[in-house]
Amino acid sequence: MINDAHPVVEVKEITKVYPGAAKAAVSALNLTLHPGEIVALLGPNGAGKTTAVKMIAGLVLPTSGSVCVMGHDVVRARTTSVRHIGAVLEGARNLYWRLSAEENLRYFGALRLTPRQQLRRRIDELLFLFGLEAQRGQEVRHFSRGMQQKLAIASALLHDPDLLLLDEPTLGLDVKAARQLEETIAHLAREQGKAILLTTHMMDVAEKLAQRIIVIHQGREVVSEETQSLLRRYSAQRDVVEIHVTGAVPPALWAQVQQAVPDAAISNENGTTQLLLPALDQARLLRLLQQLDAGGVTIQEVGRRRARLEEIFLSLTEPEQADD
Amino acid sequence: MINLIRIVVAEARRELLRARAYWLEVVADQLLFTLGFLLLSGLFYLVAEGEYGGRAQLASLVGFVIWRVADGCILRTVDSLSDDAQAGTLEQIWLSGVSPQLVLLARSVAILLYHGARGLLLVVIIMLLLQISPAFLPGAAAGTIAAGFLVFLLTQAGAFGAAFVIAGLHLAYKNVAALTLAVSTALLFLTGALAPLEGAPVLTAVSRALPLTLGIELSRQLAAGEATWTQLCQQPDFYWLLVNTAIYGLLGWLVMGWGQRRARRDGSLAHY
Repeated sequence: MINDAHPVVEVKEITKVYPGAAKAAVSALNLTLHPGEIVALLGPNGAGKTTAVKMIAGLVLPTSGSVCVMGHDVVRARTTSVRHIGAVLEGARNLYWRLSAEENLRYFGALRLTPRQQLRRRIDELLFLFGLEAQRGQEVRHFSRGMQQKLAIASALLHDPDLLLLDEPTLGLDVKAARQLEETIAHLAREQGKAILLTTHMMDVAEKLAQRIIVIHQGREVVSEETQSLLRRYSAQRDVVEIHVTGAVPPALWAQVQQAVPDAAISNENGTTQLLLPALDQARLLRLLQQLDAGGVTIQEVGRRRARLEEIFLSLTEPEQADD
Repeated sequence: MINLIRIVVAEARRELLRARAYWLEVVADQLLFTLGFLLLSGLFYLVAEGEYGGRAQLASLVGFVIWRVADGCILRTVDSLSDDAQAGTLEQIWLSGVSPQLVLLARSVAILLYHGARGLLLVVIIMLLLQISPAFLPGAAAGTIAAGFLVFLLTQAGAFGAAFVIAGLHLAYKNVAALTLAVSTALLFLTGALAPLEGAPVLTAVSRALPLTLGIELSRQLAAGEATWTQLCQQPDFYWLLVNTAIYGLLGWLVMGWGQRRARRDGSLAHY
């Protein structure tokens, strides 16, 4: 679905320095989104993701740079440009909890001046799409977190926007609700051609849904690349070796492993310890295995795999965090 | 205009649904103000040593109800904005594609309709309980009611100007509960809402600069049969009311616009 047609959103060098702040919350960020494209904006807490999303939505004024949505500048032509935007923002309810699902949609539909007949049809369509038909008359405060999130997205889609901004859409959802929501997000991009910008801390969600990944750290863009290309590029450099052993690794032995492989990491789950090492040549790996064996550790499994997005993300953001 | 009506209907519907959800609070509030007026009337009766008849009661009732409606509108306008900022619905309103000022105007009309209806109910209950009625001039009832309605609208428009000033400051500075309370108290005690201010020239001058004072004075004249529609139009106070309303309305609009820009600059449109 990605094409060379006019972009839905074009962000050029946006920077935001909040009054009184010593550092920029977002610094010279560039971003382009086409119809049907999903882009994931990743970054650790405080990286500037929400500020970036709110600047694109016209809710926060950029200090410099520009944002155009369907060719309209969100600062100079705010009213026109936001008609093309639907947004669900993290931490906000986005809805009136004392109103029913249908009343919320009717209210926000009226504010968006959707013609009455069309609005009625649209409400039915969206409640069906999100599986909320049975709860249409129920007050939102009685909804589960997943249902509230679905309704918030339904509300953001009332006016059939070209751009959907989803700030942490799966935050706080259980596995089933998160998966359903992921499927809906993919459907919206694939079948309805929505351009979707999502921020998330769930790397598997970003890896699964996004065609492109942008990582920002301390307001600055660290990487902006197509997901598959990013995974290929970093995986080539960052293949990892996983060693599963039974029980715990004695501290003295772990110290020896760290001396041999300084980047090694260790985790323990359900009585099994996992050692995660950067790609090693065969001779070094064999030596390490012998060392573990001699230390009395039972090796269950040894495997080599490509780095996951989560590991790439950490490698991109952690070194700088250490510098803080 | 059609857009404004559509949004007024949506806002009025939301206001009524909210009132339904919090019906007990609404009933208690209505009871509180009915009893409050009856208590004040009793107090005035005692202080005036029995010289507090129907005419004086009517004057108090006119002032009290105009203040009550204005106070309800101001509190609700500021509270609704604060609630929306905390729930993140304010950002959704800003994203709706209609001008936020239009939404606020529509919301003000809806709030005025709601509090106006509650004010009318308060008037009817108190008039029945105290057996008082307006003394329109013979044959001038319709014209006087129309004039009264116009004066009421102008007075409340000025109060909304004050509400917009507080709402704009709320967008910029967040916690303005003390300011809202100060304005509400000033409007009750400094506008002559309970009893006409007499014998205090400085206070009277300050009072006339406030949003409700002139409207209350003119409404009292109309209710007491001391003025007709034509006579009202010949009074300088009527034109001062127009000027007063225009000034507060303009001030409210400007402060609201400033608060909105500042909140967008500071990223504080929402505070959840």
